[in-house]
Amino acid sequence: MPARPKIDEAALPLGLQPRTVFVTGKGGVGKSTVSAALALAWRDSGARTLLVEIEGQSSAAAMLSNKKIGYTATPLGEQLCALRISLNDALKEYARLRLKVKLVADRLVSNPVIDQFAQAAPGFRELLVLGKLWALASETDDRGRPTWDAIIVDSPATGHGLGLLGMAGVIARMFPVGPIHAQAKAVDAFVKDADRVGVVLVALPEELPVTETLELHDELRSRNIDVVASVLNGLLVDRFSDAEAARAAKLIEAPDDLDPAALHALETVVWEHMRCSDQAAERARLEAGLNVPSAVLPYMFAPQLGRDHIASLARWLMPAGQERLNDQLAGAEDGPAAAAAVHASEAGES
Amino acid sequence: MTPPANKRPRRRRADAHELGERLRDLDVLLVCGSGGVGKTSIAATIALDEAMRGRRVCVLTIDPAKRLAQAMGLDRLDDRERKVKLPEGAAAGGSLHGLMLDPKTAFDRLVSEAASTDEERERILANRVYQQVSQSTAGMQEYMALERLYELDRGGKYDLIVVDTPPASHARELLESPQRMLRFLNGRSLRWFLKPGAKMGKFGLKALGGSGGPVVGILEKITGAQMLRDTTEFFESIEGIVGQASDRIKVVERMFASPKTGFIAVTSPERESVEQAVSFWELLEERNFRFVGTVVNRIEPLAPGALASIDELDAIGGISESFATRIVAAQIDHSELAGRDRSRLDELADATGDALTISVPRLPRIVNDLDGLRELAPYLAT
Repeated sequence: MPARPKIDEAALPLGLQPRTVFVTGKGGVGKSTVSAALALAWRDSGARTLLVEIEGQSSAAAMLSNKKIGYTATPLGEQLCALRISLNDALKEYARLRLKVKLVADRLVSNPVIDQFAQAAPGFRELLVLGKLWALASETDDRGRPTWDAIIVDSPATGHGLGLLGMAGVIARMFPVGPIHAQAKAVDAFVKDADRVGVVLVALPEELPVTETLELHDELRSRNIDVVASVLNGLLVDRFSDAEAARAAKLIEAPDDLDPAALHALETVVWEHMRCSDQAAERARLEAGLNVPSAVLPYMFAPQLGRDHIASLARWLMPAGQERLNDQLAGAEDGPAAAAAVHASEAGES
Repeated sequence: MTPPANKRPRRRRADAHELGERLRDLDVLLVCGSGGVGKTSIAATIALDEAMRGRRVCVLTIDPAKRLAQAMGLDRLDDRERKVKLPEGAAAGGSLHGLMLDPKTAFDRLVSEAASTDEERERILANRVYQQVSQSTAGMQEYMALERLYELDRGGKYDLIVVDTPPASHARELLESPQRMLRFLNGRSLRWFLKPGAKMGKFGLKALGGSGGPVVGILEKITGAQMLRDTTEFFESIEGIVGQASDRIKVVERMFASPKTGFIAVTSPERESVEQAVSFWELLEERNFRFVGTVVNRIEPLAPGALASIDELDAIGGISESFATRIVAAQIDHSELAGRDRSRLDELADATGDALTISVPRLPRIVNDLDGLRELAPYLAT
């Protein structure tokens, strides 16, 4: 997609031109959080942005607004909208398109036989969701420009996400002729169009999420679906040097010499430092296995993530935020004091 | 999610050993929770611990962490029970088996057993729609886990079967999966409507709610004749097995209600995860199923009393003022999380009646071997 003059290239999150992205990863890694932050960051870099939820799986829009989200784009702010795809609405819309008579289509969708068919027919559900996304990505305004520069789809977790993305191809092969074939083939071509569509993989710096992310990456590649970036979420920035952690470890070997509060404090030091080195190893493993741009997001010491935190994460996703965060991650060895700034967490405001 | 404070006294959080007591008279334990909360580790820990006490235990899992699987001797996804070598100190008679479920194999077996002839079996297994459906239809993994559980339970080889429910699913999906499966099989009634070739009449609208013909015409226009034909053929091909499979589904469903079957929810201290556990408890209460308790995994340890001060730390040899300052900052960050986790635990205990609320602290390393499981065990049972 050619860049619009109004888009600030230097501010693009992940250095990525706006496009349609499916955000996926293992359960519990923060897909919705990253989706919401990415939507904000793209919007802030000048893109007209749409955040999409799929019924029953996601809550990304709720992280940005209290507004109720439906099947039509709801504005959440300047140049930022959200939309929720439900199977029923997608079926109705598709039937209208094919039948060209609204009333027939609506009756059809509420017919129990058809409803049962849509539930039972393999992959029909996924195909409808993908078809809707294709339609959204192809939408134009009255001047013929795309309505959305960026579409962020908060997608189902690994297995189901893969099922969703691969389904159009499966159906196109399963049904070699007829309207379903034509639809599936077109949708599959959209999903695999590397100029318009890509996958953003989200991981946590832990063994299982990283392994699963690497496997998912290979699986997507083997299906010709473009992985455009990875986001490693929840990275602790080390506040302590190796020497300091070693000192703390030494002291807690004689717990009787310490009062309980000091003991607990030193245990926290040892724990945090150990987690940081485990996480650094997992980060290295992830980045070695993926040859796509990868961003990191700091762990937020917050009882509950609020809108301020998402806004802060959005700033970390931008190139300046990444540079600052990486400086601090790297700087921990010679001057750990800098790391404290990340924990104070006025993120990305350089 | 919290009931009015005056209605219910704040409950003391459960001691871990109460969990052991409540597990003693169970034959089946279903461990539920959303992905990424450590469900597999908790299920495996409970199974290992019960085996160490002398019970014959089988743990059924889907796609566990590779190293955890290897540690338990489950290096292959082949749907067979594999014996796990117990560590030293196991009570006499105890044994542990693990089984890694392959939903596709399990579904094939269900079909094979229900088919009355080899031809029928082959016809179903070869159908393209079946091949797709058996792997990807929502609720299928959940149902197949239950189906396998039923077989193991009926086999009578085990005192306790622990089920690590499928990773991506909500607990509700597990409970609803037998009904979904039944609805799916009943989709065969569609075949009467799905005879391809019928034309949509000019006034087809009239008949939409009635006889099949016009509906099919419209459906064909949407999907094409082949999708209709394949789907119809599929439902025709499974006709013979529907009766037997439906009976089986009802038996599996009854297993939920047995007093010998218990449910455990595993959550993280995150709000969404805790709220899910509460609504799961409500769902089980409604149906009178036996909810044993919630395991809240990876909670932040609480500091004992006051936090250490910069001066106090500075006074310890080898701690500079800068180091002490950062230690205090870390303490404050962590104690905020600890405080949040404590109030989540209280909310949960208040909201889930007689059910246990068990907290497991975060451990320094991720649990992925038998030693790790042994480290977790004291928090779950004594």
